[in-house]
Amino acid sequence: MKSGQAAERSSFWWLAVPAFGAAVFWTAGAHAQQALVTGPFTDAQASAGQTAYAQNCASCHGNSLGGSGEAPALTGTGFIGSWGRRTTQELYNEIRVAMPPENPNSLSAETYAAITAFLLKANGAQPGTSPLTPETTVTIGSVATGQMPAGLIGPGRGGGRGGRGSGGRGGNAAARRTGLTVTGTVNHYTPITEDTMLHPPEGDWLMHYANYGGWSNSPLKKITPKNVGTLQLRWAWPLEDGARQQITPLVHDGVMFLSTNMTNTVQALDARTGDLIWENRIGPIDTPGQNATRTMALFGNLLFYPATDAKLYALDARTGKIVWQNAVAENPDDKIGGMMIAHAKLLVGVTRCDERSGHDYCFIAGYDPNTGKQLWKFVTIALKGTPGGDTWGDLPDEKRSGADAWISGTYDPEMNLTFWGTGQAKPSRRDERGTNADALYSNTTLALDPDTGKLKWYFQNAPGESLDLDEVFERVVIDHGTQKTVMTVGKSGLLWKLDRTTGKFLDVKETVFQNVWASIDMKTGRTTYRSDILEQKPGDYLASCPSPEGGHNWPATSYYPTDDLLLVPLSQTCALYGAGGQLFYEMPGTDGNLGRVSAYETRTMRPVWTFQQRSPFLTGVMSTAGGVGFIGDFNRIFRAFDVKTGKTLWQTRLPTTAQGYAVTYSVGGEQFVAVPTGYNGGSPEQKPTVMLSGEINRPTLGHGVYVFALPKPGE
Amino acid sequence: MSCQILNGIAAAVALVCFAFAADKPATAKKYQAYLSPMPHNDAMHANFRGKGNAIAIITGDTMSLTGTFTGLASPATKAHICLSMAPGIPGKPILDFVVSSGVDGNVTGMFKLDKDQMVALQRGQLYLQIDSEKAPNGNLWGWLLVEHEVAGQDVPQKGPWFQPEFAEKTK
Repeated sequence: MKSGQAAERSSFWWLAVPAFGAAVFWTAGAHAQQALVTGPFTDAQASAGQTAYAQNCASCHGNSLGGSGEAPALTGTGFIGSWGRRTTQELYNEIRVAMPPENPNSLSAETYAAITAFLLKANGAQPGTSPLTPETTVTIGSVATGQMPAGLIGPGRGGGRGGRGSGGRGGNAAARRTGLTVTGTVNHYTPITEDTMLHPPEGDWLMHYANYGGWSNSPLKKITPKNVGTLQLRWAWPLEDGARQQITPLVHDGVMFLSTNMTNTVQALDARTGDLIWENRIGPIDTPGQNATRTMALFGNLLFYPATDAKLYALDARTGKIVWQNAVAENPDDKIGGMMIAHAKLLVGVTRCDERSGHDYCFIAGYDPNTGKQLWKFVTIALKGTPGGDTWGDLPDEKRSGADAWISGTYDPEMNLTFWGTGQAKPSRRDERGTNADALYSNTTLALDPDTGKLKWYFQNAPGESLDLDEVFERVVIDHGTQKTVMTVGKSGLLWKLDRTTGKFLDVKETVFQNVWASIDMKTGRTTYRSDILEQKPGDYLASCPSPEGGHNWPATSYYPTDDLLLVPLSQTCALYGAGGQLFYEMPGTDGNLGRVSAYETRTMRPVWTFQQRSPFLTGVMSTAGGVGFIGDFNRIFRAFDVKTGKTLWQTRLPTTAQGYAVTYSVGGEQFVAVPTGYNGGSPEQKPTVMLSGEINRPTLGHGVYVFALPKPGE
Repeated sequence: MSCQILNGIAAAVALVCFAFAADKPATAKKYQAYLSPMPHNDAMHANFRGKGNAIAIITGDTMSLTGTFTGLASPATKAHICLSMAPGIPGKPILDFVVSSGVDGNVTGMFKLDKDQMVALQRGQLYLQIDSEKAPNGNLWGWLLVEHEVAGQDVPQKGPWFQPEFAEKTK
């Protein structure tokens, strides 16, 4: 046994130390001042790489390489700050081993080399006469400045495909068809009124979160802790693979409405048997850019579908025929995020509005559901000269970006207020954004009048956010006697309780370990970052627990009113968050369990029960009045648990990850449970794959919906 | 604690009120660490494998540490105790000790902790790090956290459960 004080020892400290990142940036900056040598690639190679980039990379990193969501920018000071000291071989290997995320190392060596060459050119490197090879080892900062040559990227759209899975790209002629490809009519369809929305029929799942309050809870109680163990598969339905898949099946009058955003196809099925009634392949097929269609909306006789080209469609729910269509965003690369009905208005949130130079701002808007006419528009970026416009420092309007409304809101009909969250300001890091200021209305809870869009109040959950930790998720409407609250959990894992009449901060609880907020003012709810995050410089790797996977993410909470329990799906990973990449690790104190579900009594914020497991959870929690909760995970397991204790009561294995929003409904007196499966799940699915690589292996196919029920009498 | 970086971190530490939500007070004599791979990406994943556990028992000012690890991608080379700002934030080695060479093995060490190091331990600022041939700057790490109940996978726990809390709650 030997012991003693260590002398200077090599360790991992260099990655986390701001001084290191600053040195990298300084070095890169110094390189920019020097004459650069010719790049180790040819112009023809970079051109081929540009084409390959558009096909394989632009869907996530953007046509202009500006990054989006969890995909970092691949040009600019952030990129050169992270990569300036590293070599072309390291960049090549990073791309080859990790990209495309759902099918790494699937391209040829020549293609990876060409993409690397394009990235060098896009960062100002000059082509030379020798092609880049996997063995080429040149320090990137010696050839590239981070400054993109003018005219390299044309004004057109990205041209990349939206999907990244290996299958289902619509290779056969039938899959490429568009239009009303299966005709049929739903019999006995009851028009949905505002009263229907206020008091949803017990057997329906009418909207994203089942009810206006965002509860993801059903009054159905035929499935109980005692009989749930006998659940059996009743029917299944495949969806086209490829694009992101996080859907919510909607059910009304025994009809299930599904969508797949690979081809922008909407289908109506008999919810009892799984028979297809009608299908409208709206198109376009394989749209560029990341987009997750988490929900549609129902009202009157209409079904509203947010297509991946930011067009909003109203279909006749009985036949699938298009009644009206409307381009929601001017920028074709924007996407529709959240969508809901409130007070007979169709409310839509827009996301991926990341073109910083194009006055492309995210917004929430209200539409007349019968005509598609826009009634109002609330821009989620406070511009100069408007209230909150001074919260971006001196940043000009054209540099203000983010505050994506990518998750549906909730609604309090008595107050006639709709509650929405927003994502972080863009770029995510303050040093890249160019301001340390609060940046309203990013990462904020908004209370809006659904008739006018007028802002009643706001509460900024994460001022000046800097680690891609969104606070955009579901705002759950819960009453405690006369106290009216709205609750939400963000990526940093803080469970917030606000007074929904005023937006006043009431309470907060850390649901997973977090080390980014050094202090929370319990009087105002104001959060303050750790000092090294406040003092960040380009190229710094910043330790972030939780990681951008999020302590909580789009898999939604469920409120079980019987016991006043909020059931929260959580993730437990951390990351060193750098401008050019992220390094992942397990959260301290979790013993390697990446997934967790916890129940909190909302009146007291008291933790009631929790369970955790190695596999992350990739569906929202759904609970029922029968006392049963449901959730699915990365490792293809869909389970039922006792809402009061967290004990697992039943589970089954699915073809691929259970992903999306589980729902329950009844037809003909039978209660059914439906769960989507899918592959591209965004950050809560992509981030942990680094740690689970080689440990949990899943097929790159399998988008679908699986429907379970109790055995029929006599079975 | 010879590095300039740590001087800055130490100042920051002074500002951080670190408390545990566990039932046991911070003066508990037993600490435990779950060892897991250090930060990595896909390209680094092949060399950042393995897991392990360690227990540190405090008697007076002496820490006796024992641990095991398994499944490294290359043989272990060194082991350290590192000081960090808080759990989940990389720090700097301050103590080192014996680790068996191999992809599976054990670590042992006995140290006298000075007053600052003892405070750091109680605040959750110390972690065990094991280096390996293919990950010479750190392969596994695990924060020494006050002894707490660890439920098995899928086994529900009733609240409150163990969870370090970092943020200072001010009024």
